[in-house]
Amino acid sequence: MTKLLHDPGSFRDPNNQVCLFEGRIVRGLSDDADANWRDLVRQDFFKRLLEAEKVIETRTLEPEDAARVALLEQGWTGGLEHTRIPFISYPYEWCFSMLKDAALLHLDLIEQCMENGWTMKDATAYNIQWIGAHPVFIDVVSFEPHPEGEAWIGYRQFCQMFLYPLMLKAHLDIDYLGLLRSNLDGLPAIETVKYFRGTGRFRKGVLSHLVFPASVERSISRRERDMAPAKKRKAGKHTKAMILGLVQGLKRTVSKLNSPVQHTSWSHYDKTHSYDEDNFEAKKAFVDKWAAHAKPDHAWDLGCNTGIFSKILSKHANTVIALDGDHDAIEQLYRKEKEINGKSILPLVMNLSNISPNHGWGGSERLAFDNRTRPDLVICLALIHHISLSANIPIRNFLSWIRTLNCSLIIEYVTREDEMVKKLLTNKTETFPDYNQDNFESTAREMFDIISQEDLKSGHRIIYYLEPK
Amino acid sequence: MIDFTRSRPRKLRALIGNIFLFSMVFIGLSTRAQAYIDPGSGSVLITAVLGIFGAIAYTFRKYFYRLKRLFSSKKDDDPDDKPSA
Repeated sequence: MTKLLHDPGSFRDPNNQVCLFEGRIVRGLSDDADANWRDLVRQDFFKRLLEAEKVIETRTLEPEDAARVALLEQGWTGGLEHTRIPFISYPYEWCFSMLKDAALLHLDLIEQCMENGWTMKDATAYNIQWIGAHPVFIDVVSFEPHPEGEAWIGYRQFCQMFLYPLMLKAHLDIDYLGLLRSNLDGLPAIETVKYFRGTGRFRKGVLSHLVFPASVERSISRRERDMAPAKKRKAGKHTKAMILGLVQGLKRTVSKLNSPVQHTSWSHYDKTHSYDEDNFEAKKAFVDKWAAHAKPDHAWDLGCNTGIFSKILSKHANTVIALDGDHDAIEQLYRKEKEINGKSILPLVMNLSNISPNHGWGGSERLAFDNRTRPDLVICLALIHHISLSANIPIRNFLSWIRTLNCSLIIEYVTREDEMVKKLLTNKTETFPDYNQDNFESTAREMFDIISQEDLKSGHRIIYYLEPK
Repeated sequence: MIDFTRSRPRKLRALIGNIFLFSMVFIGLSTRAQAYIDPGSGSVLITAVLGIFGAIAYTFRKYFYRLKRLFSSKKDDDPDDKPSA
Protein backbone atom coordinates (compact mmCIF):
# COMPACT_ATOMS: atom_id res chain seq x y z
CA MET A 1 0.00 0.00 0.00
CA THR A 2 1.57 3.32 -1.08
CA LYS A 3 2.01 5.72 1.76
CA LEU A 4 0.54 9.18 1.81
CA LEU A 5 3.31 11.50 2.96
CA HIS A 6 2.27 14.71 4.70
CA ASP A 7 4.00 17.90 3.64
CA PRO A 8 5.54 19.12 6.91
CA GLY A 9 4.95 22.71 5.86
CA SER A 10 1.20 22.23 5.50
CA PHE A 11 -0.41 21.91 8.92
CA ARG A 12 -2.04 25.16 9.99
CA ASP A 13 -5.36 24.85 8.21
CA PRO A 14 -7.62 22.12 9.62
CA ASN A 15 -9.63 22.17 6.39
CA ASN A 16 -6.93 20.94 4.05
CA GLN A 17 -3.49 19.40 3.93
CA VAL A 18 -0.93 18.96 1.17
CA CYS A 19 0.48 15.46 0.75
CA LEU A 20 2.82 13.55 -1.51
CA PHE A 21 1.47 10.38 -3.11
CA GLU A 22 3.67 8.43 -5.52
CA GLY A 23 5.47 11.61 -6.51
CA ARG A 24 2.20 13.49 -7.07
CA ILE A 25 1.22 16.60 -5.15
CA VAL A 26 -2.27 16.04 -3.74
CA ARG A 27 -4.40 17.93 -1.26
CA GLY A 28 -6.99 16.53 1.14
CA LEU A 29 -10.12 18.64 1.57
CA SER A 30 -12.59 18.74 4.45
CA ASP A 31 -16.37 19.05 3.88
CA ASP A 32 -16.20 22.84 3.86
CA ALA A 33 -13.13 23.05 1.68
CA ASP A 34 -14.57 20.53 -0.76
CA ALA A 35 -17.86 22.45 -1.08
CA ASN A 36 -15.88 25.65 -1.53
CA TRP A 37 -13.76 24.13 -4.27
CA ARG A 38 -16.75 22.86 -6.21
CA ASP A 39 -18.19 26.36 -6.08
CA LEU A 40 -14.87 27.96 -7.07
CA VAL A 41 -14.27 25.88 -10.22
CA ARG A 42 -17.60 27.03 -11.61
CA GLN A 43 -16.60 30.69 -11.36
CA ASP A 44 -15.62 32.38 -14.62
CA PHE A 45 -12.98 34.57 -13.03
CA PHE A 46 -11.26 31.48 -11.62
CA LYS A 47 -11.33 29.74 -14.99
CA ARG A 48 -9.67 32.83 -16.46
CA LEU A 49 -6.99 32.75 -13.78
CA LEU A 50 -6.26 29.10 -14.53
CA GLU A 51 -6.07 29.79 -18.25
CA ALA A 52 -3.70 32.69 -17.72
CA GLU A 53 -1.58 30.33 -15.59
CA LYS A 54 -1.75 32.72 -12.66
CA VAL A 55 -3.04 29.89 -10.49
CA ILE A 56 -1.37 26.47 -10.51
CA GLU A 57 -3.03 23.86 -12.68
CA THR A 58 -5.33 21.91 -10.40
CA ARG A 59 -7.71 19.03 -10.98
CA THR A 60 -10.27 17.34 -8.79
CA LEU A 61 -9.30 13.74 -8.10
CA GLU A 62 -11.56 11.17 -9.69
CA PRO A 63 -13.35 8.79 -7.30
CA GLU A 64 -11.40 5.75 -8.52
CA ASP A 65 -8.02 7.50 -8.22
CA ALA A 66 -5.76 5.72 -5.73
CA ALA A 67 -4.67 9.04 -4.28
CA ARG A 68 -8.26 10.00 -3.51
CA VAL A 69 -8.88 6.63 -1.90
CA ALA A 70 -5.84 7.15 0.31
CA LEU A 71 -7.00 10.66 1.28
CA LEU A 72 -10.50 9.46 2.12
CA GLU A 73 -9.01 6.78 4.34
CA GLN A 74 -7.33 9.57 6.29
CA GLY A 75 -10.69 11.20 6.91
CA TRP A 76 -10.75 13.81 4.15
CA THR A 77 -13.91 14.37 2.11
CA GLY A 78 -12.33 15.11 -1.23
CA GLY A 79 -9.01 15.58 -2.97
CA LEU A 80 -7.20 17.71 -5.51
CA GLU A 81 -4.06 17.23 -7.51
CA HIS A 82 -1.69 20.07 -8.40
CA THR A 83 0.90 20.21 -11.15
CA ARG A 84 4.25 19.88 -9.46
CA ILE A 85 6.38 22.99 -9.16
CA PRO A 86 9.84 22.10 -10.52
CA PHE A 87 11.68 23.65 -7.57
CA ILE A 88 10.29 25.14 -4.36
CA SER A 89 11.77 28.50 -3.38
CA TYR A 90 11.07 30.96 -0.60
CA PRO A 91 10.72 34.77 -0.45
CA TYR A 92 14.07 35.09 1.35
CA GLU A 93 15.73 33.77 -1.79
CA TRP A 94 13.99 36.05 -4.27
CA CYS A 95 15.51 39.21 -5.71
CA PHE A 96 13.64 42.50 -5.54
CA SER A 97 11.85 42.19 -8.87
CA MET A 98 10.74 38.67 -8.09
CA LEU A 99 9.21 39.76 -4.80
CA LYS A 100 7.62 42.73 -6.56
CA ASP A 101 6.12 40.57 -9.31
CA ALA A 102 4.84 38.15 -6.69
CA ALA A 103 3.22 41.08 -4.87
CA LEU A 104 1.61 42.35 -8.06
CA LEU A 105 0.31 38.85 -8.80
CA HIS A 106 -1.25 38.67 -5.37
CA LEU A 107 -2.87 42.08 -5.75
CA ASP A 108 -4.17 41.07 -9.16
CA LEU A 109 -5.71 37.94 -7.68
CA ILE A 110 -7.36 39.74 -4.78
CA GLU A 111 -8.71 42.37 -7.16
CA GLN A 112 -10.27 39.77 -9.44
CA CYS A 113 -11.70 37.94 -6.44
CA MET A 114 -13.25 41.02 -4.89
CA GLU A 115 -14.81 42.08 -8.15
CA ASN A 116 -16.60 38.74 -8.26
CA GLY A 117 -17.66 38.41 -4.65
CA TRP A 118 -14.76 36.23 -3.52
CA THR A 119 -11.80 36.84 -1.26
CA MET A 120 -8.55 35.24 -0.16
CA LYS A 121 -8.11 33.97 3.40
CA ASP A 122 -4.53 35.15 3.70
CA ALA A 123 -1.75 36.98 1.89
CA THR A 124 1.37 34.99 2.55
CA ALA A 125 4.23 35.13 0.04
CA TYR A 126 4.77 31.42 0.56
CA ASN A 127 1.64 30.81 -1.50
CA ILE A 128 3.48 31.93 -4.61
CA GLN A 129 5.97 29.75 -6.45
CA TRP A 130 7.84 30.02 -9.73
CA ILE A 131 8.04 28.25 -13.04
CA GLY A 132 11.14 29.85 -14.45
CA ALA A 133 10.53 33.59 -14.36
CA HIS A 134 6.76 33.14 -14.13
CA PRO A 135 5.07 33.50 -10.73
CA VAL A 136 2.13 31.22 -9.97
CA PHE A 137 -0.27 31.05 -7.03
CA ILE A 138 -0.47 27.62 -5.47
CA ASP A 139 -2.88 27.75 -2.54
CA VAL A 140 -6.27 27.30 -4.18
CA VAL A 141 -8.02 26.71 -0.85
CA SER A 142 -7.23 30.28 0.08
CA PHE A 143 -10.12 31.40 -2.13
CA GLU A 144 -13.48 31.63 -0.42
CA PRO A 145 -16.71 33.58 -0.86
CA HIS A 146 -16.48 37.10 0.48
CA PRO A 147 -18.98 37.89 3.26
CA GLU A 148 -20.84 41.09 2.54
CA GLY A 149 -19.22 44.09 4.16
CA GLU A 150 -16.17 42.26 5.47
CA ALA A 151 -12.78 43.99 5.27
CA TRP A 152 -9.81 42.70 3.25
CA ILE A 153 -8.42 40.56 6.05
CA GLY A 154 -5.18 39.81 4.18
CA TYR A 155 -4.06 43.46 4.12
CA ARG A 156 -1.83 43.29 7.16
CA GLN A 157 -0.11 40.10 6.05
CA PHE A 158 0.33 41.49 2.54
CA CYS A 159 2.14 44.49 3.98
CA GLN A 160 4.36 42.36 6.22
CA MET A 161 5.26 39.79 3.59
CA PHE A 162 5.53 41.92 0.47
CA LEU A 163 5.22 45.67 0.88
CA TYR A 164 7.58 46.39 3.78
CA PRO A 165 10.53 44.37 2.41
CA LEU A 166 10.06 46.02 -0.99
CA MET A 167 9.92 49.49 0.56
CA LEU A 168 13.04 48.85 2.63
CA LYS A 169 14.96 48.01 -0.52
CA ALA A 170 13.43 50.60 -2.83
CA HIS A 171 13.50 53.57 -0.45
CA LEU A 172 16.43 52.82 1.83
CA ASP A 173 18.44 50.24 -0.11
CA ILE A 174 18.28 47.89 2.86
CA ASP A 175 18.69 44.21 2.06
CA TYR A 176 15.53 42.48 3.24
CA LEU A 177 16.59 38.89 2.51
CA GLY A 178 18.14 38.16 5.92
CA LEU A 179 15.18 39.83 7.63
CA LEU A 180 12.69 37.68 5.75
CA ARG A 181 14.64 34.54 6.51
CA SER A 182 14.41 35.31 10.21
CA ASN A 183 10.81 36.48 10.16
CA LEU A 184 8.76 33.80 8.47
CA ASP A 185 5.56 35.80 9.01
CA GLY A 186 7.05 38.85 7.36
CA LEU A 187 8.24 42.14 8.82
CA PRO A 188 5.91 43.70 11.42
CA ALA A 189 4.90 47.33 10.99
CA ILE A 190 6.08 48.29 14.46
CA GLU A 191 9.60 47.08 13.66
CA THR A 192 9.84 48.27 10.07
CA VAL A 193 8.71 51.79 10.88
CA LYS A 194 11.89 52.25 12.95
CA TYR A 195 13.94 52.22 9.75
CA PHE A 196 12.04 55.16 8.32
CA ARG A 197 13.10 58.32 10.14
CA GLY A 198 12.66 61.96 9.28
CA THR A 199 11.98 62.53 5.59
CA GLY A 200 12.10 58.78 4.94
CA ARG A 201 8.55 58.69 6.26
CA PHE A 202 7.36 60.71 3.28
CA ARG A 203 8.55 58.25 0.67
CA LYS A 204 5.91 56.72 -1.52
CA GLY A 205 3.41 54.60 0.42
CA VAL A 206 5.20 54.86 3.75
CA LEU A 207 2.82 57.18 5.57
CA SER A 208 -0.41 55.33 4.73
CA HIS A 209 0.77 51.73 4.78
CA LEU A 210 3.52 51.76 7.38
CA VAL A 211 3.55 54.79 9.69
CA PHE A 212 -0.22 54.89 10.15
CA PRO A 213 -0.71 51.13 10.79
CA ALA A 214 2.34 51.09 13.09
CA SER A 215 0.96 53.93 15.20
CA VAL A 216 -2.47 52.28 15.44
CA GLU A 217 -0.88 48.98 16.50
CA ARG A 218 1.32 50.73 19.04
CA SER A 219 -1.54 52.64 20.61
CA ILE A 220 -3.70 49.53 20.88
CA SER A 221 -0.80 47.67 22.41
CA ARG A 222 -0.27 50.45 24.94
CA ARG A 223 -3.92 50.51 25.89
CA GLU A 224 -4.47 46.78 26.13
CA ARG A 225 -1.11 45.62 27.38
CA ASP A 226 -1.94 45.26 31.05
CA MET A 227 -5.70 45.03 30.87
CA ALA A 228 -7.83 41.98 30.44
CA PRO A 229 -10.09 41.27 28.64
CA ALA A 230 -9.16 42.64 25.22
CA LYS A 231 -11.56 45.17 23.83
CA LYS A 232 -13.86 43.55 21.27
CA ARG A 233 -13.54 45.61 18.17
CA LYS A 234 -16.67 46.54 16.25
CA ALA A 235 -16.08 45.59 12.65
CA GLY A 236 -17.12 48.42 10.40
CA LYS A 237 -18.80 47.68 7.11
CA HIS A 238 -16.38 47.77 4.19
CA THR A 239 -17.83 48.46 0.77
CA LYS A 240 -16.46 47.01 -2.45
CA ALA A 241 -15.25 50.47 -3.48
CA MET A 242 -13.23 50.76 -0.27
CA ILE A 243 -11.51 47.44 -0.75
CA LEU A 244 -10.89 47.81 -4.45
CA GLY A 245 -9.70 51.36 -3.89
CA LEU A 246 -7.19 50.13 -1.34
CA VAL A 247 -6.05 47.24 -3.53
CA GLN A 248 -5.65 49.40 -6.63
CA GLY A 249 -3.84 52.05 -4.64
CA LEU A 250 -1.44 49.39 -3.39
CA LYS A 251 -0.98 48.18 -6.96
CA ARG A 252 0.08 51.66 -8.04
CA THR A 253 2.37 52.03 -5.04
CA VAL A 254 4.08 48.67 -5.57
CA SER A 255 4.46 49.23 -9.32
CA LYS A 256 6.36 52.43 -8.67
CA LEU A 257 8.82 50.81 -6.25
CA ASN A 258 12.15 50.25 -7.96
CA SER A 259 15.49 48.98 -6.89
CA PRO A 260 18.33 50.43 -8.91
CA VAL A 261 20.88 47.82 -9.88
CA GLN A 262 24.15 48.82 -8.26
CA HIS A 263 27.44 48.44 -9.96
CA THR A 264 29.16 45.71 -7.99
CA SER A 265 32.07 43.59 -9.16
CA TRP A 266 29.52 41.11 -10.39
CA SER A 267 26.80 43.12 -12.05
CA HIS A 268 28.94 43.84 -15.09
CA TYR A 269 30.81 40.57 -15.12
CA ASP A 270 29.78 39.95 -18.69
CA LYS A 271 32.03 42.77 -19.77
CA THR A 272 34.71 42.64 -17.14
CA HIS A 273 35.63 38.96 -16.76
CA SER A 274 39.22 38.11 -17.34
CA TYR A 275 38.77 35.70 -20.25
CA ASP A 276 39.77 36.33 -23.82
CA GLU A 277 37.34 35.42 -26.56
CA ASP A 278 38.85 32.07 -27.62
CA ASN A 279 39.18 30.67 -24.14
CA PHE A 280 35.68 31.78 -23.28
CA GLU A 281 34.30 29.98 -26.30
CA ALA A 282 36.26 26.86 -25.31
CA LYS A 283 34.77 27.01 -21.83
CA LYS A 284 31.26 27.36 -23.23
CA ALA A 285 31.86 24.46 -25.60
CA PHE A 286 33.06 22.22 -22.78
CA VAL A 287 29.99 22.98 -20.68
CA ASP A 288 27.69 22.48 -23.65
CA LYS A 289 29.27 19.14 -24.59
CA TRP A 290 29.18 17.59 -21.13
CA ALA A 291 25.77 18.98 -20.20
CA ALA A 292 24.49 17.30 -23.37
CA HIS A 293 26.20 14.09 -22.26
CA ALA A 294 24.73 14.24 -18.73
CA LYS A 295 21.22 14.97 -20.04
CA PRO A 296 20.03 16.38 -16.71
CA ASP A 297 16.38 16.94 -15.93
CA HIS A 298 17.39 19.32 -13.20
CA ALA A 299 20.63 21.33 -13.09
CA TRP A 300 22.19 23.86 -10.73
CA ASP A 301 24.53 26.68 -11.69
CA LEU A 302 26.36 27.70 -8.52
CA GLY A 303 27.79 31.20 -8.79
CA CYS A 304 25.82 31.81 -11.98
CA ASN A 305 26.51 35.54 -12.10
CA THR A 306 25.05 36.84 -15.40
CA GLY A 307 23.57 33.44 -16.22
CA ILE A 308 25.47 32.88 -19.42
CA PHE A 309 26.20 29.25 -18.50
CA SER A 310 22.71 28.75 -17.05
CA LYS A 311 21.50 29.51 -20.55
CA ILE A 312 23.71 26.77 -21.97
CA LEU A 313 22.39 24.35 -19.34
CA SER A 314 18.80 25.25 -20.17
CA LYS A 315 19.30 23.82 -23.65
CA HIS A 316 19.78 20.42 -22.08
CA ALA A 317 17.86 20.54 -18.80
CA ASN A 318 14.18 21.09 -18.04
CA THR A 319 14.89 23.13 -14.92
CA VAL A 320 17.96 25.19 -14.13
CA ILE A 321 18.45 26.78 -10.72
CA ALA A 322 20.80 29.74 -11.13
CA LEU A 323 22.31 30.71 -7.77
CA ASP A 324 24.46 33.65 -6.83
CA GLY A 325 25.26 35.47 -3.62
CA ASP A 326 25.10 38.83 -5.35
CA HIS A 327 21.56 40.22 -5.33
CA ASP A 328 22.04 42.54 -8.29
CA ALA A 329 23.48 39.81 -10.52
CA ILE A 330 20.35 37.74 -9.85
CA GLU A 331 18.17 40.80 -10.33
CA GLN A 332 19.64 41.36 -13.78
CA LEU A 333 19.35 37.70 -14.71
CA TYR A 334 15.71 37.63 -13.59
CA ARG A 335 14.87 40.75 -15.60
CA LYS A 336 16.41 39.21 -18.71
CA GLU A 337 14.54 35.94 -18.19
CA LYS A 338 11.28 37.77 -17.59
CA GLU A 339 11.68 39.70 -20.84
CA ILE A 340 11.93 36.51 -22.86
CA ASN A 341 9.24 34.81 -20.78
CA GLY A 342 11.73 32.15 -19.69
CA LYS A 343 10.22 29.04 -18.12
CA SER A 344 13.29 26.99 -17.31
CA ILE A 345 15.79 29.16 -15.42
CA LEU A 346 14.93 30.07 -11.83
CA PRO A 347 17.38 32.66 -10.44
CA LEU A 348 17.81 32.73 -6.66
CA VAL A 349 19.96 34.73 -4.26
CA MET A 350 21.95 32.43 -2.01
CA ASN A 351 25.19 32.64 -0.09
CA LEU A 352 26.81 29.26 -0.72
CA SER A 353 28.63 29.30 2.60
CA ASN A 354 25.28 29.79 4.35
CA ILE A 355 22.55 28.19 2.26
CA SER A 356 18.90 28.33 3.31
CA PRO A 357 18.50 25.95 6.26
CA ASN A 358 15.70 23.67 7.44
CA HIS A 359 13.64 25.87 9.71
CA GLY A 360 10.22 27.06 10.78
CA TRP A 361 8.07 24.89 12.98
CA GLY A 362 9.75 21.61 13.87
CA GLY A 363 12.72 22.61 11.76
CA SER A 364 10.92 21.18 8.75
CA GLU A 365 8.33 23.74 7.75
CA ARG A 366 10.66 25.37 5.24
CA LEU A 367 13.24 23.14 3.65
CA ALA A 368 16.97 23.61 3.31
CA PHE A 369 18.15 24.43 -0.18
CA ASP A 370 19.78 21.02 -0.64
CA ASN A 371 16.79 19.23 0.86
CA ARG A 372 14.35 19.99 -1.95
CA THR A 373 14.63 18.60 -5.48
CA ARG A 374 18.02 17.01 -6.01
CA PRO A 375 19.96 18.04 -9.14
CA ASP A 376 21.30 15.71 -11.82
CA LEU A 377 24.13 18.07 -12.74
CA VAL A 378 25.85 20.89 -10.86
CA ILE A 379 28.24 23.39 -12.43
CA CYS A 380 30.72 25.43 -10.39
CA LEU A 381 32.55 27.71 -12.77
CA ALA A 382 35.03 30.31 -11.51
CA LEU A 383 33.77 29.56 -8.03
CA ILE A 384 36.19 27.32 -6.11
CA HIS A 385 38.70 30.11 -5.44
CA HIS A 386 36.00 32.18 -3.78
CA ILE A 387 34.79 29.25 -1.70
CA SER A 388 38.31 28.33 -0.57
CA LEU A 389 40.14 31.61 -0.40
CA SER A 390 37.35 34.07 0.53
CA ALA A 391 34.95 31.90 2.47
CA ASN A 392 37.76 29.76 3.91
CA ILE A 393 36.03 26.50 3.17
CA PRO A 394 38.58 23.76 2.47
CA ILE A 395 38.34 22.10 -0.95
CA ARG A 396 37.61 18.73 0.66
CA ASN A 397 34.59 20.11 2.56
CA PHE A 398 33.16 21.75 -0.52
CA LEU A 399 33.57 18.69 -2.73
CA SER A 400 32.07 16.48 0.03
CA TRP A 401 28.99 18.64 0.09
CA ILE A 402 28.60 18.38 -3.68
CA ARG A 403 29.10 14.62 -3.38
CA THR A 404 26.08 14.39 -1.03
CA LEU A 405 23.95 15.58 -3.94
CA ASN A 406 24.95 12.43 -5.81
CA CYS A 407 25.10 14.05 -9.23
CA SER A 408 27.56 14.88 -11.99
CA LEU A 409 29.73 17.95 -11.66
CA ILE A 410 31.40 20.40 -14.02
CA ILE A 411 33.94 22.35 -12.01
CA GLU A 412 36.59 24.89 -12.94
CA TYR A 413 39.76 24.93 -10.88
CA VAL A 414 41.50 28.32 -10.78
CA THR A 415 45.26 28.07 -10.21
CA ARG A 416 47.40 30.39 -8.12
CA GLU A 417 48.89 31.83 -11.31
CA ASP A 418 45.54 33.24 -12.34
CA GLU A 419 45.31 37.00 -11.82
CA MET A 420 41.93 36.73 -10.04
CA VAL A 421 43.45 34.37 -7.43
CA LYS A 422 46.42 36.68 -7.05
CA LYS A 423 43.98 39.50 -6.43
CA LEU A 424 42.20 37.46 -3.75
CA LEU A 425 45.45 36.52 -2.03
CA THR A 426 46.99 40.01 -2.11
CA ASN A 427 46.28 40.97 1.45
CA LYS A 428 45.82 37.58 3.03
CA THR A 429 48.21 36.14 5.59
CA GLU A 430 46.88 32.56 5.39
CA THR A 431 48.76 30.25 3.06
CA PHE A 432 45.90 27.87 2.12
CA PRO A 433 48.15 24.81 1.86
CA ASP A 434 45.34 22.67 0.39
CA TYR A 435 44.78 25.05 -2.51
CA ASN A 436 46.78 23.55 -5.38
CA GLN A 437 45.91 21.54 -8.46
CA ASP A 438 47.38 18.23 -7.31
CA ASN A 439 45.50 18.30 -4.06
CA PHE A 440 42.33 19.35 -5.84
CA GLU A 441 42.56 16.42 -8.25
CA SER A 442 43.45 13.83 -5.64
CA THR A 443 40.65 14.97 -3.34
CA ALA A 444 38.20 14.93 -6.24
CA ARG A 445 39.30 11.41 -7.23
CA GLU A 446 38.36 10.10 -3.80
CA MET A 447 34.73 10.96 -4.43
CA PHE A 448 34.41 11.30 -8.20
CA ASP A 449 35.74 9.89 -11.43
CA ILE A 450 37.40 12.51 -13.60
CA ILE A 451 35.83 11.76 -16.98
CA SER A 452 37.29 14.70 -18.86
CA GLN A 453 39.40 17.78 -18.31
CA GLU A 454 40.64 20.70 -20.38
CA ASP A 455 43.06 23.55 -19.88
CA LEU A 456 41.70 27.04 -20.21
CA LYS A 457 43.38 30.43 -20.10
CA SER A 458 46.77 29.01 -21.01
CA GLY A 459 46.72 26.60 -18.10
CA HIS A 460 45.69 29.11 -15.48
CA ARG A 461 42.33 27.38 -15.24
CA ILE A 462 41.33 23.77 -15.72
CA ILE A 463 37.78 22.66 -16.28
CA TYR A 464 36.69 19.14 -15.28
CA TYR A 465 33.70 16.92 -15.85
CA LEU A 466 33.23 14.57 -12.90
CA GLU A 467 30.83 11.74 -12.15
CA PRO A 468 30.14 10.47 -8.64
CA LYS A 469 31.93 7.30 -7.61
CA MET B 1 -21.66 53.69 7.37
CA ILE B 2 -18.45 53.33 9.22
CA ASP B 3 -18.53 52.81 12.91
CA PHE B 4 -15.21 52.19 14.59
CA THR B 5 -14.02 52.65 18.13
CA ARG B 6 -12.71 56.11 18.84
CA SER B 7 -10.15 56.67 21.56
CA ARG B 8 -11.19 59.03 24.32
CA PRO B 9 -8.19 61.34 24.97
CA ARG B 10 -8.81 61.92 28.69
CA LYS B 11 -9.18 58.22 29.52
CA LEU B 12 -6.15 57.38 27.43
CA ARG B 13 -3.98 59.93 29.21
CA ALA B 14 -5.08 58.67 32.61
CA LEU B 15 -4.42 55.11 31.55
CA ILE B 16 -0.95 55.92 30.27
CA GLY B 17 -0.27 57.72 33.55
CA ASN B 18 -1.28 54.65 35.55
CA ILE B 19 0.79 52.39 33.39
CA PHE B 20 3.83 54.60 33.95
CA LEU B 21 3.30 54.61 37.75
CA PHE B 22 3.09 50.87 37.95
CA SER B 23 5.61 50.19 35.19
CA MET B 24 8.33 49.32 37.70
CA VAL B 25 6.12 46.59 39.13
CA PHE B 26 4.75 45.34 35.87
CA ILE B 27 7.90 45.39 33.78
CA GLY B 28 8.47 41.72 34.32
CA LEU B 29 4.86 40.87 33.49
CA SER B 30 4.34 43.12 30.50
CA THR B 31 6.15 40.92 27.98
CA ARG B 32 3.89 37.99 28.80
CA ALA B 33 0.77 40.16 28.70
CA GLN B 34 1.82 41.36 25.24
CA ALA B 35 1.31 37.83 23.99
CA TYR B 36 -2.42 38.25 24.53
CA ILE B 37 -2.78 41.18 22.20
CA ASP B 38 -4.18 39.99 18.92
CA PRO B 39 -1.69 41.27 16.32
CA GLY B 40 -4.48 41.89 13.87
CA SER B 41 -6.46 44.07 16.32
CA GLY B 42 -5.91 47.28 14.49
CA SER B 43 -6.49 45.90 11.00
CA VAL B 44 -10.14 46.75 10.81
CA LEU B 45 -9.54 50.35 11.76
CA ILE B 46 -6.58 50.65 9.42
CA THR B 47 -8.30 49.15 6.38
CA ALA B 48 -11.38 51.25 7.13
CA VAL B 49 -9.46 54.51 7.11
CA LEU B 50 -7.32 53.61 4.10
CA GLY B 51 -10.42 52.20 2.44
CA ILE B 52 -12.26 55.52 2.69
CA PHE B 53 -9.47 57.29 0.82
CA GLY B 54 -9.21 54.36 -1.55
CA ALA B 55 -12.93 54.45 -2.27
CA ILE B 56 -12.76 58.13 -3.10
CA ALA B 57 -9.89 57.52 -5.51
CA TYR B 58 -11.58 54.43 -6.95
CA THR B 59 -14.88 56.16 -7.56
CA PHE B 60 -13.14 59.20 -8.98
CA ARG B 61 -11.06 57.12 -11.40
CA LYS B 62 -14.08 55.10 -12.48
CA TYR B 63 -16.09 58.18 -13.42
CA PHE B 64 -13.10 60.04 -14.79
CA TYR B 65 -12.37 57.24 -17.26
CA ARG B 66 -16.01 56.99 -18.25
CA LEU B 67 -16.03 60.70 -18.89
CA LYS B 68 -12.81 60.45 -20.84
CA ARG B 69 -14.26 57.73 -23.05
CA LEU B 70 -17.25 59.91 -23.81
CA PHE B 71 -14.94 62.49 -25.31
CA SER B 72 -12.36 60.16 -26.82
CA SER B 73 -12.41 59.02 -30.42
CA LYS B 74 -11.76 55.35 -29.57
CA LYS B 75 -14.83 53.15 -29.94
CA ASP B 76 -13.58 49.77 -28.79
CA ASP B 77 -12.98 50.31 -25.07
CA ASP B 78 -14.46 47.64 -22.80
CA PRO B 79 -16.72 49.53 -20.36
CA ASP B 80 -15.48 47.34 -17.52
CA ASP B 81 -11.84 48.31 -18.05
CA LYS B 82 -10.18 49.14 -14.77
CA PRO B 83 -7.62 51.95 -14.70
CA SER B 84 -4.22 50.31 -14.98
CA ALA B 85 -1.81 50.34 -12.01
